[in-house]
Amino acid sequence: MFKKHKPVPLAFMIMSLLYFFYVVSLGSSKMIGDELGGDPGGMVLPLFLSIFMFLASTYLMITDTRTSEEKVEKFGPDERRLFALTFLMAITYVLAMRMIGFVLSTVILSFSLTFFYLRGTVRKRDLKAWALGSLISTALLLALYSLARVLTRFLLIGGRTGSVPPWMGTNGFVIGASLLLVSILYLPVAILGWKKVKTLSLGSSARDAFVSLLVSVATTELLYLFFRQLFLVELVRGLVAW
Amino acid sequence: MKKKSIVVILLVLLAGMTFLAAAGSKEAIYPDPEKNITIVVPHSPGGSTDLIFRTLAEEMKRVSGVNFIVTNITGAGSATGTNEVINGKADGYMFLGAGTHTTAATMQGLTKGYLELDHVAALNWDPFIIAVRTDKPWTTLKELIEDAKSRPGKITLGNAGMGGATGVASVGLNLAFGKSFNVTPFNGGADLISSVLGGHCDVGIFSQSEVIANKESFRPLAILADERSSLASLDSVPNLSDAGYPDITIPGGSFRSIMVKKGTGEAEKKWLAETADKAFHSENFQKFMKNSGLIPVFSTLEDFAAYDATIVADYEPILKEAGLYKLTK
Amino acid sequence: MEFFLEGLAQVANISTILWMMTGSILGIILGALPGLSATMGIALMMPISFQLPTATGIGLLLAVYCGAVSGASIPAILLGIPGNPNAIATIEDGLLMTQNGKAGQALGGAIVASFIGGIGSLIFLVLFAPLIARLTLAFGPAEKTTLALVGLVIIASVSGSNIWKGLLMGAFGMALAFLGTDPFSGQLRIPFANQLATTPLSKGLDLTSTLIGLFGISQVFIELRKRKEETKKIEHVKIENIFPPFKKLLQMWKIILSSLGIGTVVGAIPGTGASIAVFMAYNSAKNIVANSNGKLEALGTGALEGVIAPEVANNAVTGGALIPALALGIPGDAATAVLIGALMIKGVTPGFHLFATNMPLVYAIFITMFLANVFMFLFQLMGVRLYPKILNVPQQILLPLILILSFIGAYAIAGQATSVGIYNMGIALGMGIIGYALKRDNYPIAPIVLGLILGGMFEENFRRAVKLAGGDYLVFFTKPICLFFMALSVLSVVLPMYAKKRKR
Repeated sequence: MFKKHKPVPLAFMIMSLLYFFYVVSLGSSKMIGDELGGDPGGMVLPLFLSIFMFLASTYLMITDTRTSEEKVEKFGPDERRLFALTFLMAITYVLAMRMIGFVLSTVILSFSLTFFYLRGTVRKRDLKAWALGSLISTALLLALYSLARVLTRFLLIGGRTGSVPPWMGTNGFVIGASLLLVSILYLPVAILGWKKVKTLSLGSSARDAFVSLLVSVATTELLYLFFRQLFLVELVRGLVAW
Repeated sequence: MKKKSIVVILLVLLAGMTFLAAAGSKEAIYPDPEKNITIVVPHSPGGSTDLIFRTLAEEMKRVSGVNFIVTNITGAGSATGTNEVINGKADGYMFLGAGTHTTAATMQGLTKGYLELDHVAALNWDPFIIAVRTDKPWTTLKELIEDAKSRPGKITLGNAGMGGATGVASVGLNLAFGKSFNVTPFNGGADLISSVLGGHCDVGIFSQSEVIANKESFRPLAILADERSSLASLDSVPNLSDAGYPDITIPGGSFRSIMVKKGTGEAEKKWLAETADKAFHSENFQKFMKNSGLIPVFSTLEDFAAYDATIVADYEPILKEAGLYKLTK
Repeated sequence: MEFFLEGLAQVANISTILWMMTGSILGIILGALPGLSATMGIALMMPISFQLPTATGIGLLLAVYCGAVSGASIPAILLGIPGNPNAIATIEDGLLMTQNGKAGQALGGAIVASFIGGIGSLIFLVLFAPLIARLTLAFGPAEKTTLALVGLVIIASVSGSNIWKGLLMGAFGMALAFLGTDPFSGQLRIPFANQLATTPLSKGLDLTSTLIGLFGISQVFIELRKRKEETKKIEHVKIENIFPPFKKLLQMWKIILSSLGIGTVVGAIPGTGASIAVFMAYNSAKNIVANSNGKLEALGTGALEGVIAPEVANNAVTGGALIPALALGIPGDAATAVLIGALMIKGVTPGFHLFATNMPLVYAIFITMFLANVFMFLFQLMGVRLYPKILNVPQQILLPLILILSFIGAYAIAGQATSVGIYNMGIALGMGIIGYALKRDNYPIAPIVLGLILGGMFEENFRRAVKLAGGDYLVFFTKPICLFFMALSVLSVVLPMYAKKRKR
């Protein structure tokens, strides 16, 4: 049935009907303290909207049909897999974030998506490289993260208690120092590793895994430093409780 | 094989880090130097409640070195923001910019409000003033009331939100004068000021501090407090009994306080109360209160609980009479 | 003049300049990261501004403000994610320009437009602050209702080929805006109210998360679908000719002026804000182009005009929002509200009083506003050669980045509340899927956003206006401003229909 008609108007027809019944069941709520009257109440506008949306979507259901040039292109099998992967991982990411925390969930999501996008599809024989790669990215990131955390806490607490000069305990200095430390540790790993991977000629899946590793570790750590430390957003800690 | 050895090295490194980090964070300190303390202001930015808590937050930040962040969560009087604190954790990292608006919203059944919150510190009292734009015909409260009674429902009386303290005051006023005003809630003090200035609403109930900021354009008719204003520029404004209505008592003002979720540890509450104390008595905050006509009534913890009980007692009869009392304990 | 010199003396020192430069850079970064708003940046800088002399402190905050507003256009143009709601109207043409390999020009145009908008509105501010402040007071509940109506109808009529699609989407956006709590009675208006009463849904949908989902996340899914057949790589981004030729800007003078006017006035009306102004400016530019006899490029096709108009407007809002803030003590938007707070802490009460007694400080604020725009312009200029490099990153790496940045952006809006942050990510994902379905069937997205932004404003002011009039619905036909807006909205529905009929 969706060859000619589009699913969107139909969805809106159903939704506006449900909305209509919902609004009616909710009833009209009056402004508090409206003794003399005059408040049109909370139902007028939603009711109007639901009727309007029903009429408009019915009209579009009839008139807005697919033209020949507007045909939805078919998914290729590879795209379909990547699409499904992205969809599932995104949902998992949102649901699992609170439990496993920002750092772990982000590095795994970032690594997995980058890796499979680079591969161009999801295949069984890439799974081993994926699993190993996720593990190493996580380990590398945790190492960088933990070192930066130790430094951060040392400086912040030291700045307050007086064991280091107060200016070293300011937020700006701490971020600068953490960024420097992380870069010093990250760059050699990246450069040496890249050389290794090149010389070892491990095949394309290992190379893609390595690129994904570098990207995901850098992304996650930088996002952490910017959002958490510079702009004070409280990112979930989850499993990485320190 | 090489790869495996790298993994092993990394994992060992990681275990070391974990141990170090875990050892480093053993002593739980409140407030954690990395955490921010959020102040939920249940009104929109720019109104007098918002300004008071922003100023206080800056001083608390200065005296303690901890980050205090103000977030405005508006809606349903002040209930939405209050619920935000109630639904949060009782860990001392979030407190409510509370006050008379909390009392009013709780009694109207919009939130569990003070039943779920603990007292930390009371800050100040801000008397309400009934004012109209200078080009309106009424020069005294009596003229206004007579006019309103002669054509009920025609004169609009605005407040800064029904859940808030000006809402209760306007309802109380309307009850006292035979329900002759059309009482309309606005979205916070700033919205009310611009609507009265623009002539869209006839009469407004403002905080004293809001009237001062626009004293060229407003004609204050009466101050809803027992005594006249402590400010030189407003001491000619009559109180209700001088304006000819000695029998009417209305909770005519708002006070602001700090409340946290019930169950917050005593140490955390004490730290917050002490920090608020220091910030409150700082030169800047005192100057700010003086400039904006706020009357300091500082008290912390138990003292404040007793003070709050008198406010609650003042509010109950008015809201019950107006039919707005919906508190279920 | 004497006041001007006294004001200048307050800001002409090295510490002011340095602090403002820092603020400007920080503002641009903040604006470019999704989910972080100008308001938040100003609030973060408050403690520092507090330690500085009044004029310097205010200068720092203004620099953050101007930087953040202009920085938001960077991700909008390059990636199609709005840095904050100010940049939503920039996405359509900006992203198309990027896809046509003209990212440099789009960014350059946006920077020039930001500068013009900022300085232009400052001129308005200096010359007419008290006057415009009076004008905005004419906007009461009834007028604001009709203003919201105009915004909704206009955007429905200009986006997409079919006005019914636009109107349906606008209505959908409004219905979404009504989710949450009734603003006047506190009644919950969400499905399964008993179960969901304590969830963040009781506050309604978060606007920025919704935007990030509709624009950013949906785009990832769209790109995934067409990945194979469209492996055309964006040609190496040319970074010469960043600036629009002067001649071209001259041709656009009408667009620039109207956007400037719209931005300044809408910015000055309390409770409105940049997100309305940018769409109104975009629409007015569309009309101007239609009457230009083909001299200007049509909007929606990747035209520079479509970047210039909203970018002039959203930066003009900065000056506009300061007008009622300084002249009346009423903030034009949330960011200026925080600014007023900063002034009050310093013992300065904005309002007529300020103009009467402390003119040197007023001039000092004007001068820092000017400097804030200059620094924003300079730093953006330095970066503009750098930003498009991000597009040389292969799409396989860029798409996951966009997805993650979208999620973190949605999360970051909540700031401190973890549960709200995760809920916002859920909203962004849900909206991303809805946005994907709609885009696939050629339904326009922009009206949903406008409905969502204006729905709350419309309902609140509608009910308030009727209540103030004692229950009289005809109040909207008794005021000149209302009548004007009503006529405008009817015309913008009828005219396109009529034009379409005639074409046939």
